[in-house]
Amino acid sequence: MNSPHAEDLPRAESADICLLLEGTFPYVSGGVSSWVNQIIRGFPEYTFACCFVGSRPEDYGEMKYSLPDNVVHLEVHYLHQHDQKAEKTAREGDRKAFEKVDRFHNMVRSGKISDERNRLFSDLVSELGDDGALSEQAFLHSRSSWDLIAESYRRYSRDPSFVDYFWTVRIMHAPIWILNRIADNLLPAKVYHSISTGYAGFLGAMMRRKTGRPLLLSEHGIYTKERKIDLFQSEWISDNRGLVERNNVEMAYFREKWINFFQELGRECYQASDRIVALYENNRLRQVADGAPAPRTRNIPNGINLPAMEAVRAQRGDEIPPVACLIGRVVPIKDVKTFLRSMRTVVNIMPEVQGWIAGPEDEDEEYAAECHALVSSLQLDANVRFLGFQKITELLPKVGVVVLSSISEALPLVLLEGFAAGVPAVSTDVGSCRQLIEGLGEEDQALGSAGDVVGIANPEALGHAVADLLRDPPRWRQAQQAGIRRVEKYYTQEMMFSAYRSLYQDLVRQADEEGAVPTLKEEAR
Amino acid sequence: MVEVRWLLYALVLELASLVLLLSASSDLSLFLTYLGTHLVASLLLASAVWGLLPAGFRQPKVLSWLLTFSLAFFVPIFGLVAILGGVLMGYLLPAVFRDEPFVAVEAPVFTPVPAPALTGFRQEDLKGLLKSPDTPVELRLQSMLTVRGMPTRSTGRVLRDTLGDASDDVRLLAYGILDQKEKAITQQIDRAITLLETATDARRYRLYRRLAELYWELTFQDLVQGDIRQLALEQAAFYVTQALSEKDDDGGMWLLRGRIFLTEEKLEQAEESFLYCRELGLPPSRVNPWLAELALMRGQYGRVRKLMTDISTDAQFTSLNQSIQYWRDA
Repeated sequence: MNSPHAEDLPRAESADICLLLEGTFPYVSGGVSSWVNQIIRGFPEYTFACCFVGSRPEDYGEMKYSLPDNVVHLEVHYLHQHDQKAEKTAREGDRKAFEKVDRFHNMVRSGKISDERNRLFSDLVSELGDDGALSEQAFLHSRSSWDLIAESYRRYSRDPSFVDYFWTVRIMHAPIWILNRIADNLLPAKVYHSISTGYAGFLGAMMRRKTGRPLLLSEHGIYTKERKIDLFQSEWISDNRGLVERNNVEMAYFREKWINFFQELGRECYQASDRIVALYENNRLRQVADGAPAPRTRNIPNGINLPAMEAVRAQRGDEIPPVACLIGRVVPIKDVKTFLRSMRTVVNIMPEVQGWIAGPEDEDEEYAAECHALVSSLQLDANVRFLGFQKITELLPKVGVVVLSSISEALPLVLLEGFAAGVPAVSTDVGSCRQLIEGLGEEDQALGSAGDVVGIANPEALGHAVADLLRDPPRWRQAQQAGIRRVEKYYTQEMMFSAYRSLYQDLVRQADEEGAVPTLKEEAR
Repeated sequence: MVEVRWLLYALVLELASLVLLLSASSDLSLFLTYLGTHLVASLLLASAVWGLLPAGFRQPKVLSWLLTFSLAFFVPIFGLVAILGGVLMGYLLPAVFRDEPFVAVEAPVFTPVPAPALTGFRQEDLKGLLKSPDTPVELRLQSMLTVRGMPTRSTGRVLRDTLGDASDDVRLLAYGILDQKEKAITQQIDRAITLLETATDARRYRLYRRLAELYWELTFQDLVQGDIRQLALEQAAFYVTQALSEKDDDGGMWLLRGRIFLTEEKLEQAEESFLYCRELGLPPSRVNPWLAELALMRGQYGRVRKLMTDISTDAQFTSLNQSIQYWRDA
């Protein structure tokens, strides 16, 4: 089964650009999804196909965006929905193919990237199909596969449990065959465009190796980094080392395996991508450190629709509204709790200030409930309101300062939208927030500071920064002007579209030169 | 068929033995006669039934016969029913021996593999390692794994300093560690508050006590700062008062009350609480260290010495021993 509404989704035989989307547009709202929506609408001259890859159907509700007219195709796949009805039969398996797998893993272990490794990857991908030497059945039920797993356990495992080792290997690799099936049936496109590394990026790498068509990667956050932090903290990964085997400075072996797995998914995507886009320089450097070939990388910052936001700015009165607003989903990465705690400090200084949280609460309901409970325990019921999803154009004129308490961000659109609407910001020092508020380089910095930047998870500093800005109208107005000028000069939608236009044009040209795009039917023939 | 004949004899004998058993007489010889008749009947029954069993049920020979005989002999009447029922079940619900597509393989043997050491042996303080900009990120991440296993009371400061680390990974990990520990306590607080809404009188006292301890733990473990720390202390003090209003001779709550006042540097009230703990019978080993700390804050060193010497006879202490020794020798 694909989607509960699979029959309603638009289908086409081919498209100009196929977007590979993991857990984002159109089923999840948020900064990345808005960006995807913006890009699709910004290029009406191209037809888009969207391939959504999610975890399980129950994790997503209805579509959060209406599909733009130029989305001609949408398909939905889930990685953790196992529908294993295939008959299990004992088989010997192709020893030579599994030796290749072993050789590939040795190269991965050595950390070296070479043409030979990339060729080997292409070879392995071509064998993943049901008739291939490395089919899912061969991986799950062949003697050769067992021998490789058992031998690898003997040679490398630092965790004594073979049962855990065996199942970790199986579960970790299972999505590869699902992705391969998606890749085999995905419609032909001139360019494949992935919005992250991870599973969607790996699917992109498979498409690049299978079809030879160009792959573009645009990364907002750094997927591998976020996975790594999740895995560092996750409690479901077992550690079976005994007291005498354990070394406190050594990570649990399976935890390390999972981190390496996602790093390799990312590396394959970087290696296969023709162009790699980061939002700002630090992320680009991180991509290069994670295996992206530097000459293929570049930065394209987010941009916003200035004329639309100018109209919003015009709605503002002369007064500074005593409202601090966090605009974003109520999820742990936004660290809404730190915002709430900072409101305790703000209210201690300025009892009339309101704290608003404008964003959907359905993505992590448990966390949202914790946030609501925190409001009561901080005795902030009279000062804090959860508004749910709000139209930014209606919300921003009522806001005095946009607050971002996130523990991780890339180049948040909400800050830019706030600036353009004439609202300064106080943000944690994550991603490119300091660059957005204080400027990057002398010319940019000369525009002045558009608010304040504080360390992460420091509610008191955040609270003081918000109160200081709201209590000082001259400074507030100066920050407002700095924000407006910075957005107008460096972060407009036109600049972003123009950069992507040249990228798309180049890649489409490259695809055209390599031959016309066959439709699915033609491919089948 | 000989088995059928044996079966008939067995049934007749068993019936006769039963008649003997049910007769009113309590004569021993009569009972022994019953036992003998029942034994013969059981031997015949077991042999007959065993002979009639399908071949699969008769393996292994001696043990399967013995089982049949035991059922017949030790469970008169019902044993027979059980045997026949068992055989019937065996016919109706036969065990299935499918041809499974699996083959047996041997589990590999674990040979301990050493982790690839980053820098070999290292003796350095964690704080220095984490703070130094020259430390490679991987090593800093490794250090964080060690920090994670330690109480935040000792590591809170280091972790908060690390929140400003240049590396995203280190920073996020520090955040995660602090957040997880804080969340564990906050969740218990939320649960206790929910329970409080519907609690009985007896339960209410225990919940007040628990809430006071949990709010105190947030401060004690160094998980909250600034205004939030102040709020946590206020909440702890509030629930201590609530608990004491339910049960005013709770020495533990008076001690906590004193510690909260001590943290807020309300020395008079703290002393009053600690002294009341002594009146309630709390041993010097629990109260004196706090009274001594209070005296130290007031600069009353002689009093500190006296208070510490008072508990020096308590031999079970480990963490306090050195301070006790110090003040006794001072």
